Amino acid sequence: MIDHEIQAPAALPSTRKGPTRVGRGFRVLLGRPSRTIGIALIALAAIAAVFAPVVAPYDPFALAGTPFDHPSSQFLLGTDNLGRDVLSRVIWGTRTSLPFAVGAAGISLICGLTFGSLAGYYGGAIDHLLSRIFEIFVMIPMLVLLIVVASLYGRHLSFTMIVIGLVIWPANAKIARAQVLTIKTRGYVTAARGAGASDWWLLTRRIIPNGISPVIANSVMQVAAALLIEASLAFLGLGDPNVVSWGQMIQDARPYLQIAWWSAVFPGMALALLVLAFHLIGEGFETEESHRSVF
Amino acid sequence: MNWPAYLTRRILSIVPVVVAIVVLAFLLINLAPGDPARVLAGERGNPEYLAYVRHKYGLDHSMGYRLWKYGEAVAQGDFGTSLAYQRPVASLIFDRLPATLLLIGAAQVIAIFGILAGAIAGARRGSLFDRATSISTLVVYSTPVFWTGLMLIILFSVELRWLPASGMTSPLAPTSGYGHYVDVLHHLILPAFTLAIVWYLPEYLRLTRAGVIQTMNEDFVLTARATGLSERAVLFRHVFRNALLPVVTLVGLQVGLAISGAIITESVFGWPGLGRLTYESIGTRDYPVLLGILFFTAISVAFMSIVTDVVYALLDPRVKYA
Amino acid sequence: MKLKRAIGQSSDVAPKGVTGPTDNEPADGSQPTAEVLLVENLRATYSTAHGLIRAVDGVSFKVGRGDRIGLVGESGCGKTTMGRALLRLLPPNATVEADALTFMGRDVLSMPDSELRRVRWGGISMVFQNALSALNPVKKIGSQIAIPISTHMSLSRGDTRRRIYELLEMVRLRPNVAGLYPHQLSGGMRQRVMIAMALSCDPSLVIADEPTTSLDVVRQDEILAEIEELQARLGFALIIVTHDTAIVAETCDRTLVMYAGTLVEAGRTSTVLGSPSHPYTLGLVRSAPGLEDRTELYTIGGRPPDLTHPPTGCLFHPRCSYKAAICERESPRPRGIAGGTKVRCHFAEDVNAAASDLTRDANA
Repeated sequence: MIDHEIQAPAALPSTRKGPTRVGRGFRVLLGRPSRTIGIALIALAAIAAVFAPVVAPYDPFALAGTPFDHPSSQFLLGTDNLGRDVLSRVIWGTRTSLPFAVGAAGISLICGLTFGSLAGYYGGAIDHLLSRIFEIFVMIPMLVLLIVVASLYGRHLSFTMIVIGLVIWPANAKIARAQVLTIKTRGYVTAARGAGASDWWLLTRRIIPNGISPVIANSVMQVAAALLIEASLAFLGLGDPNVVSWGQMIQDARPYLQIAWWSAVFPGMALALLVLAFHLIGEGFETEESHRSVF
Repeated sequence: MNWPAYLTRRILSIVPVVVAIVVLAFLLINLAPGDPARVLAGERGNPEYLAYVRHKYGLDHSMGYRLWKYGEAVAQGDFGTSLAYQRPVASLIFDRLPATLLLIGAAQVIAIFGILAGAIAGARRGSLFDRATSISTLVVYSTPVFWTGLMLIILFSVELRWLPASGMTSPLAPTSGYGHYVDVLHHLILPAFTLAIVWYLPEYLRLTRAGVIQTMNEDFVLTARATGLSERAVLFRHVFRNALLPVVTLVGLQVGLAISGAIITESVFGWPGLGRLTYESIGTRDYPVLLGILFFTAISVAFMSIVTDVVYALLDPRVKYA
Repeated sequence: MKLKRAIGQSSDVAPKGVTGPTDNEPADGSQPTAEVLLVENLRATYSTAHGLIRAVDGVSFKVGRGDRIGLVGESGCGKTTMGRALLRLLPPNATVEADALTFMGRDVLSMPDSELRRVRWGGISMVFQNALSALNPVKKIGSQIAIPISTHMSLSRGDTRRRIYELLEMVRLRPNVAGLYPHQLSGGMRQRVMIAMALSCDPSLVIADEPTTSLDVVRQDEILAEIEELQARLGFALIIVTHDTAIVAETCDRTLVMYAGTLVEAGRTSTVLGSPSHPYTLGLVRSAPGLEDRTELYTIGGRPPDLTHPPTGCLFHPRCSYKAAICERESPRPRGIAGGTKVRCHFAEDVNAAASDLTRDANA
């Protein structure tokens, strides 16, 4: 893997004319059909989220039709228990779920990468302390904690997002730490340090870029997990009442399963597809990493 | 392998976790908006009870003192009193625990099939079986467990009428003896199956499959083939045994973290366990119960991690005879 | 159960493995019992994401009963692949073809699986380089040795146990080793276990793949001595695959030099290493440092070729100091030269002359 890693200092001419980092990134992303499907679904959801007011046929909070209308040409996915258009609510749901999950995973990525790299790089007391913290966080059951927090502190979406991010970052930190531990002994790091590179430079220009791949893969999986958690919380009645949430939709539809199954089925399908999309991409990262050489 | 030293070390390593949980719970109560006393005593608590709570938890004093009083209570096994049930939280939790354990246990049993399937999938990598199981479990894993549960209810309870939609028992069924067990089993199938296929089975399958694939690349498998063993013998006598070691760890940890899945599943199926208790307590704002459940789950995770480590040490001779 | 005591060949009998004008044996193989292994034009190709890689290209040699053969080459030259190809132990993305690959007269490549499994270990066994990873870490030594025994010989449990102790004793290990796990043994002990395992089913040929590379020098010497002694006693044919010419010089009667998947020189060890006829062999010999040497360390310049884009003509020409125009155009065919060696070089005689000068100068 040495050849593919970012190492050539400015002084030495690069002898490999391989693909650029961006080019390789695209190849990783689109290389296999499962990943392409994942990207397509996420793109679809992103478009729906951004253009929701334009794309959705009705206002998601408007009582546009009679309750429990079958799917029809007027209401493509039917109406829910209050007469709101299911399709519009599904579309608007992306506005809630997607930023939430990406935000939580983003916080987790940043915190995890930072603390994990510092722990791995400096070792010693810092590493010891941070490792203890990682261990403790891992043992806290997330859903229960979130239930307690949401009950006590209110159900604002951004608040919950930050809490999730702050609870799940240790997983990323562990991976980042392990990566840094391995990479900091590599030849090109020692060489650069010998040439006078500062710690900061080494970390940001050499170590982290080469080790970030599994951390990103894990963060992608965390997006999927965050999506499910948000929905679960909404289902349990702890979601933000001011937004459209797929979990909330399913909870609302629960007493009426026999007469209006569509109001529960479609939000769930949307959520499952979006989660699946992130899983597909995350899995793709993993198989790329563990490609075993023939010799 | 120095067992007494090892065990002591492991148990002691739990202590910081327990302390951290206590501190966490404490902070959650005291930093919440509103009066901590109301959190613990309820919105409509009568004045005497409020005063009692203030005194017991030192709520009129400094944070440090409060923390001390709180820790003191916890150390004595007092996790507060349920607002809705007017009972000590600890006894309430232990009352509901068996039902949850039954649910989780049944789900684990079903999930064992994931290990079997994963072993076969790994051994026959790239085959139709492998691809089919990997894709199907990934899809199911991506669904929210409550949604899948509801879908299964629609199919099996509403449409086909084969299985009951909720509860652990039917009102008209016998309450003891063989008939009782059958009744419970009847109610257990759907929730356990849902929990298993969404929460556990995909993970077990994936881990076993990866373990088998990785083990098959090891050098000693080449040696085994070189000694003239058939593929089958290589798999059963060498690969599976080695590949399953890390799965043991995973199963142990999953049991510890199972509460989250159980909460949602029990809410969907009305199963009368800890999960349902959680759901109810959310509705009734029964904070002492919620906190108690937080404690309980965190400590059981910590405990299970010790048990898992010990079992692993027993199984892997590299650890046992270090 | 008595161990087979074959009639071993002493090291100064003329080698039978080199085909060419000096060989008198009938071509139809009417002396099947003298020939343990016959390899003719063996080719092994890996199909990878980077293209097809010809790891072994046109290797031919014979192994007779009791022969001691050294297969020398640097890392990546294909010698390990070749060793494994003989037992069809290559990964699924590898294809093995040959004009002939026979063990005791039976064609290995077309053998049904059941027969192949009998040949594996029962006829040809292997000693692997890294015993720690070649042994199953969660199984006791005794049960690991027992597995091939129970696969190939039907012995009672008591007999199996006796056999295991016998084997351990043969490699100078105490019987209690059978109850230990691989990680509890030292490197040298593990390597002895590998040897014991390799001999457990009375093979006719043992392929030792870098048997001492993972050990320190002192252990290396011990293990080599043991292998030599066991070979003399039990009479199996031995192929030692290594990058260390010193081992081959000490232990083997015949030497095969491999480069980039082809045999570039093959013949009696004393001739091949004493007066080499191929520039690569010459380079190998010259780069082995002597105790008396005070001169700068000699290395062969350049690197082994990238097998996805091999050089035209002779594979060695980019690094060769005897290179001429013909070397880039035409890949040299194997030919016999004086002394019984087979070599693949357009200028073998010149190389040989230069090598003799060297030896003469060194001895002067």
